[in-house]
Amino acid sequence: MMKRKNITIGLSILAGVLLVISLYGIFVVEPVLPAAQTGFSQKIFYWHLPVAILSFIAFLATLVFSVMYLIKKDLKYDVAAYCSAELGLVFGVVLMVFGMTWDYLAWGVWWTWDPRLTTYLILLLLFGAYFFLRSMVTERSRQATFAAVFGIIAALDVPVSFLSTRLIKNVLHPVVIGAKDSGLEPSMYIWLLLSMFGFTALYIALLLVKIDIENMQDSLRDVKDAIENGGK
Amino acid sequence: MSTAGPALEVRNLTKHFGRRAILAGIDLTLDRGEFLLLLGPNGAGKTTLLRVLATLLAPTAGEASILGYSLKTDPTEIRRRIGFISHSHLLYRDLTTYENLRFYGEMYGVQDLDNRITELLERVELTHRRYDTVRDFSRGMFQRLAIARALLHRPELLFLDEPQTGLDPHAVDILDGIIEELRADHTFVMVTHNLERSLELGTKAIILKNGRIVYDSADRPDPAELKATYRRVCVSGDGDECD
Amino acid sequence: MSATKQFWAILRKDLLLELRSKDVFTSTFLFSIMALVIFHFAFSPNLKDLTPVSAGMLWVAVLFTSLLGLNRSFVHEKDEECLDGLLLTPVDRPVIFLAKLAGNLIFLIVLQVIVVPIFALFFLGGLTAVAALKLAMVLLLGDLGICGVGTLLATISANTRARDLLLPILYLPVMTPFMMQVVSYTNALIMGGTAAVDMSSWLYLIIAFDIIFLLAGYALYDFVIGE
Repeated sequence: MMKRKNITIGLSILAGVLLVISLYGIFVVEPVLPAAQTGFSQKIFYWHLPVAILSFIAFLATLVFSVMYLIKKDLKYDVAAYCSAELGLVFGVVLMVFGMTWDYLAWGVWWTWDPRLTTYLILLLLFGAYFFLRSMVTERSRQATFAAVFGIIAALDVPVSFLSTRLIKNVLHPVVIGAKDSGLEPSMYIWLLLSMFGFTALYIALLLVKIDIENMQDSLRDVKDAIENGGK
Repeated sequence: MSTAGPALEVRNLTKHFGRRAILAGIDLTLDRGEFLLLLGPNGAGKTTLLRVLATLLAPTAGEASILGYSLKTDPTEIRRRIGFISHSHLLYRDLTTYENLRFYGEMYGVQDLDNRITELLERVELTHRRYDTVRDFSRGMFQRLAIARALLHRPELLFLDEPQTGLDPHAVDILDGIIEELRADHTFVMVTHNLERSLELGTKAIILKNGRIVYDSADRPDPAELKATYRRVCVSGDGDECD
Repeated sequence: MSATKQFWAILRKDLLLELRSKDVFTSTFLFSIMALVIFHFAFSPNLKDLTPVSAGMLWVAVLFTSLLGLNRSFVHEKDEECLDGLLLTPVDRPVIFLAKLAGNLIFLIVLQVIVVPIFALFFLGGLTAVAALKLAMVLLLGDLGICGVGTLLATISANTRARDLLLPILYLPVMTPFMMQVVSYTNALIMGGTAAVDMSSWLYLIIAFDIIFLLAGYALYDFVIGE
């Protein structure tokens, strides 16, 4: 247990250091891009992309833990799935705020129905439904099973929905990595990677803490039950 | 068609709801042809045990074989051979008596279904309501039809969950009569609160408390001993009611 | 063989129950007609010709009426714990899924046979035979996806505290991307050759969704029904 605590603390410190360095790089070292490449607001991108990737990883982890739960029927997988989904939702909301700000600064609109934004909105609604479903079932193993089944359906829906939105119309969103003229200097990749590692460390640290909190709450509930039942 | 092995063989059967143990390690063996009484205070886990044995709930841990079939690997074979009479009558209110029985009969693949239905309806004295929707049935009529439903597929093992609750005297007579007829070549497991009535039926009795077996008569229960234990278990301190 | 018999037994029972209490059918029928009328008044202030939005109206009406039907499909089973009775019988769980799916599908199709012609009359002023056939096909494909996921989610929501309150919350976000496809396809169909995009790519996606939804429902049903 001690060891796990150290890992959590270590990861948190690492995340802090990496993210501060990346901020330094983004705002001090790198020059402001010319207006044609969306100017100062482009700096959001360094954190925007890592947060986006991590929110996807978080939801992917929920899918994996959900499948594991259905196979093993061990509640610890359900706790992990639930905690990861919650982090995914937090990262997702942060992402939406970043994205909308960027949209506004660069193109003068807060919201467009472009494929990625739309897919993301649906994804957030799906996981909103996931938490609502959980709150509607009290019996613990039933809650875990239903949540796992819905989590799988929701996760299956995401890639296809991305494909769908693309097919309908593709408007503003820049295709950054992999595109020929992405406008990224090699030095920019370094800061991007630093933030990526920083956020990954943050995600794992938060997940571990959150899982511990959930487990403690469960134990607390057991103790409460035992007291209410007069130690029967 | 029957396989070898006792009617019930249960080893360390455990059922958790969340982290709470409702059944905390049940060991139990029951031979064919026996009549097991399942007693205990409210919340002891009687109904949960019955539901696990009837394949309606999956156990958290432990093994059980029923009529020689494993609960884990052969639930369908078990379902073919057991009948279950629960608190609810498990009948569709908007269907007629006949349609209800026909539906269940088809699900069980009962041979010569119409004759079987006629025969059972006569036995539970509902022939005159054969083509009526069951919506307006009285509680006793529902329960009689529920008995017919549970017997349709000629089960070898019958689970009864407080079958006398809410029955009118006439229905109780019919139920008692049917149990009497079937006793010879059927196995019964009955949850009951009514010790007086059921004592004469039981060839074996167990008392459950907090998910554990606190008394196992092993053999035909001695009435005095059983009653004394029952009272002691149920009254011990915290206001549990047995009846 | 016995599985086929059991499938028909469940399906026949569900249809019988539906026929006997015509209330759901009547209410969903009236609901969908009312929805179309309300759409008309919601859009007509700004649009002289409602044809460009009619595909969307049709599918929104289908989606919301299907919610009513799906919610109903499990009410009979929960009424008197009949689900226990069904689960006690020696039936493989996927058979229950398929039978429930078929019941929901038949319900939707019968409803559409009545409502869609009325819709065409109201908003399209009639259809060519080819367009009508294509419309029937996309409706059928849409219904398959709706019932595949819907049957699974309706079983989940029927077994929770919220019951019918929960189904729309679970069901609508899952269906949204699917709806984009069926609406786009139907729209292109109604608007004739005006849509520039190749319609077949939508059709492939619709079929892909159908397959994913049906397989997921089939595979996951066992977990849901036993809980």
